[in-house]
Amino acid sequence: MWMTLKAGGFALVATAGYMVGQTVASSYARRPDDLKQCQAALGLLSSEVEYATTHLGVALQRVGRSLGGQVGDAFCRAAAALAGPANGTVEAWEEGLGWLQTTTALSRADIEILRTLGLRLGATDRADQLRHLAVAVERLKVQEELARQARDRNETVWRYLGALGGLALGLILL
Amino acid sequence: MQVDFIFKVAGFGMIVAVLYWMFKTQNRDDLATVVSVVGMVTVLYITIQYIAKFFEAVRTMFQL
Repeated sequence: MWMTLKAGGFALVATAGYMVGQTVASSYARRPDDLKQCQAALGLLSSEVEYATTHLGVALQRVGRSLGGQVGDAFCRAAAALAGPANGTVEAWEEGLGWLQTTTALSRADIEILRTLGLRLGATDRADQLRHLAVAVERLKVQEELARQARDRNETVWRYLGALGGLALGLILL
Repeated sequence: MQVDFIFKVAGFGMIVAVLYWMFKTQNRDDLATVVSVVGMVTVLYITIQYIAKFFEAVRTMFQL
């Protein structure tokens, strides 16, 4: 009975370590893809602003629907918030950013780039908005490159460290 | 002396060895050093009571 309990505890600690490692590693693995999706979304939004000259809420909705995924959902949420009563562009954009923060692997710096862009969206003329969209895409490209480097450096390390660290901790506590 | 304690230290040593090898292959020499030092300190920490018992036994045997 006692041995079974100890074996069960060991298995639980080892599994917990493994899952922590997998969680951290997967956040490193997902971040470049999430940044790529954000760039694609901003590219589509640029097209909407430049050629379609649609209302911002409609443009956000279209981009969100055509893109899909978590980033697309964030754009749809921002569009829905913009359509709501007594909501400004910045508040609606923040609603989308909140969704991105909780569901994607984007870092605080990535979110900050998008937040800065949100201050300009719908508030200035078309040329100025396009300029800021281009700047945001360029900054996200830099972040993507850094995220790829971080992924190459840390993903495998965290996978091994989580699994073997859990085993080591389990052994010590056994 | 309990045999399972020896197996525990051996298993811990194997895990530290695998981690050290993995960090080396990833060119993370800094982390490899940290892991080996932490492994050594941990094993020393869990063996220290046995070492203390051993010295106590030696002192008793030779009446020091």
